[in-house]
Amino acid sequence: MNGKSSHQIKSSPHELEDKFLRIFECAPDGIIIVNLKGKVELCNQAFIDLTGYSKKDIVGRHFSKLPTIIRRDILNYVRLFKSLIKGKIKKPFEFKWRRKDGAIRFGEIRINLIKKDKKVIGVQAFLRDITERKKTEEELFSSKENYKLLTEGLQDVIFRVSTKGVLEYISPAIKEFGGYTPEKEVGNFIAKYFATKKEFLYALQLIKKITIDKKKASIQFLYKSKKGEPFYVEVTAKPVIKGGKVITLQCVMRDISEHKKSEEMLKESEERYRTLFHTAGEVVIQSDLTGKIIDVNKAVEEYGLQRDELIGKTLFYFLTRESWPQAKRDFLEQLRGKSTEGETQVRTPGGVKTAYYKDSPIIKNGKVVGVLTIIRDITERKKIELNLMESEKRFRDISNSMADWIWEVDKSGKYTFASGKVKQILGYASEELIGKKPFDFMPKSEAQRVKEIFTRIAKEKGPLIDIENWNLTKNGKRVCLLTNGFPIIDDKGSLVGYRGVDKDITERKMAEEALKKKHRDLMEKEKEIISVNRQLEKLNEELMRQDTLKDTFLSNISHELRTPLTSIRTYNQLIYDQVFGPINKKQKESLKITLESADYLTELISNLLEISRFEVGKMKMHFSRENIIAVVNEVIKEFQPRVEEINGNILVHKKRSYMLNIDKTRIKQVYRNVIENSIKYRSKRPLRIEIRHSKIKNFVKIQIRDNGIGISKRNIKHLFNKFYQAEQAMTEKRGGVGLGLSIIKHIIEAHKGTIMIDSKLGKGTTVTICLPIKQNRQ
Amino acid sequence: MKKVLVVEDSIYITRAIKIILEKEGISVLSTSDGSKVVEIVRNKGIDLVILDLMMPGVSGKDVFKMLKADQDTKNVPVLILSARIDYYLNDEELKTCDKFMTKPFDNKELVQEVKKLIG
Repeated sequence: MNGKSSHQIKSSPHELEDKFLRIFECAPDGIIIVNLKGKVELCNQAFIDLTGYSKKDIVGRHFSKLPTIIRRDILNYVRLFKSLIKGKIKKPFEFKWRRKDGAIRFGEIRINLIKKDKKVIGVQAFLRDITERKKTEEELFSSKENYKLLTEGLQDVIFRVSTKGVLEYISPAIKEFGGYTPEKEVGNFIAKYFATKKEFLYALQLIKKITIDKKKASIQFLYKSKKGEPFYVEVTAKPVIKGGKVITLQCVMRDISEHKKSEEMLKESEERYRTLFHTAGEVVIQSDLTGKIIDVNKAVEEYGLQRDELIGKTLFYFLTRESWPQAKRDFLEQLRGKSTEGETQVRTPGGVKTAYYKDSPIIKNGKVVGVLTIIRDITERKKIELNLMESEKRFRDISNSMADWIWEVDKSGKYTFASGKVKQILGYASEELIGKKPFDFMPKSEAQRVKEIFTRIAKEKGPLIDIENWNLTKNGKRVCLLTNGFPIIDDKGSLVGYRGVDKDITERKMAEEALKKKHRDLMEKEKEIISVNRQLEKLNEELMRQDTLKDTFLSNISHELRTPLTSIRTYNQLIYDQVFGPINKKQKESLKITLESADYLTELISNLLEISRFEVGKMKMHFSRENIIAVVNEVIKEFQPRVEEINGNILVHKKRSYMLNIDKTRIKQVYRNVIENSIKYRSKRPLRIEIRHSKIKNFVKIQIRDNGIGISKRNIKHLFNKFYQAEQAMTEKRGGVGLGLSIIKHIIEAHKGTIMIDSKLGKGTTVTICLPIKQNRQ
Repeated sequence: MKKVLVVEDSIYITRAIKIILEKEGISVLSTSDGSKVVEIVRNKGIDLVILDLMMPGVSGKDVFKMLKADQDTKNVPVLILSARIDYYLNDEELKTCDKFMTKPFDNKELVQEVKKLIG
């Protein structure tokens, strides 16, 4: 990979650059590129992940000023860099760095030079986090040490050998170890203890190496006992240095035959593994630490891929681009010795397939050496899952589109689910509800009330039916919810939670409350009305009493007035009629005025009394079935002498008779009044009165027309007013009586009839009266 | 000569009626005591009673009843002459009288009606 990267920098067409960047970004190792001046030009995502810093913190800085560097190491790095740019390549080495969170991590660093036209233009470093590995190693080492301490003096043989390979000392344990006598073995060349010549030669080389390097080393070989039995031993040799020279090697030998046996077994199982690897139905991929595929089994052919095609390529080749970030993260985990599993998208000639994968690191001697990946096609299963998801989505869509929101709470009443609709109702997003209780959204007193209800019902594992509760939205608006829900019960019959629906019934509730308020208001109004009514009744009673008093008073007054009026009129008439002797013309004219005034006064008094009676409803009507034509004829008969006297004429058009329920006396009064007026307000023409009777629907229409002086339009509307006197009447010697028309209007109305007056000034007046044929008796 | 009894508490009116009727050759007796009416009518051979309604003591209505209740007097015609039209209109019994005239009255009309009743 390193070579490739530098190659790509060299060629640097855009496409290649792009490819490089992609690999660079996806690489499991942290990569950092530094130019010749020591400034960081580039770092990848893995580097960011490893250090915890952002690219901003890294790129553009001098490498010695990177925040990840541990201070005391700076000088070493600077020295290293100087030698690097001179073209000296350093072997991979271990180092420590500080993450942003302060944690110290162990890493392994490999450094490469970037060249262009055979000239060094930069340095790239690959970082790998080996903290976990280091820890394991340390643990292993310490346990090994402990073990060693325990077994020393028991099984291990301690000996000294010269740099030439001559045994100088050997502990007594050799007796048990190989049947040799220690005293006899000192001075012997070590060759006799080796079962094979090859291993002996290797041992000699090692001794030479230790003598030069002055460093501890160990060797495993097949040891030959005195009886010729071979078994595996491990010998660790430590140089004893005197005056800067290795003078002898202090060694410890241990029986590792058991260990070796297990190794053999391991080999065997590896064989078995290999068989499995190649015959497995699932795709098994073995890759190295750079992610390069080392081996893949035949099952890959089911994907339409060839083994040869894959081997040597990176795992990424096998995956869709979308799956890379996950794969990269997983790979980092595996390097730390962890297994990962999940789903990924596999690229095959037959299209993209969904696969389940399980990655396990391959560990050898406590070190991660590669990754084993098992891939299983789960496209079908995925399809089913998708269907499931779709139906769940459909449910979600439905629940979101519903006017109501669906919820689930756990045993403690905390929301575990809330459909999106809640946002519209309470103003909170679904996620905001999770972990909260319904009572958290209610005003304090309401929460207390509803909580008691819920607790009681939940105790019996009962359903929640139409529980109304007031809540506050995120904006503090009051919202009334109608809660319905069912308990969720597990296999053991214990309550797990509740699932239900909340409906927003605020508007309904508001309307209800408004209605209730209106109802209360109405009740109060009604009470008021009742009390007012009572007062009115009392007032009415009082009025009635007053009316009766008034009526009695008026009747009495009327009588009292009439009595002297009778004397005035009678005696005046006696004088006028010259009963007491002759009077002159002037006296007679004067007396005539007195008589007429007395009559007017009489009429006034009687009309006043009548109108007052009509108005207080005291006027009693006496209905009987009468022929209206007969009634009118009686009236006309009364007027005949007077009409003849003034050379007038009253004509009653007779067609048929009409039987009506009337108060005869009162109706006569009406005819009389109208005819009286016609006479009173006659013109200079000979008076002509025409009376017609006709049937219109359920009424008998009575029309009385004269050829009198008529009434102006202005006055006609005042005719029925009490005390109204038409201005023409005022010009007459004798004043008109407005009360007369008022009375006849009262009489007609008491018959449930109507009266209308139509007139043309100078032409005449028509009075139209309608009386119902069928009329209820009063 | 026909005899008319005027039952009236007002002496002015009684006197006026006397003048009016006597001028026509009718004999006029009078009383203001209602309780004596039946007896007078029975004993004096009265042809017509002119009766006022509003009187102190026995009212005109009571007098009317008494007259109609008595065998000797029930056929004697009665002309009620009263200012109380309401009494007359609202009393079915009074309505059976031979003639009702209101006060004030026209002298000529009274003569006319009296003559009609006494024949």
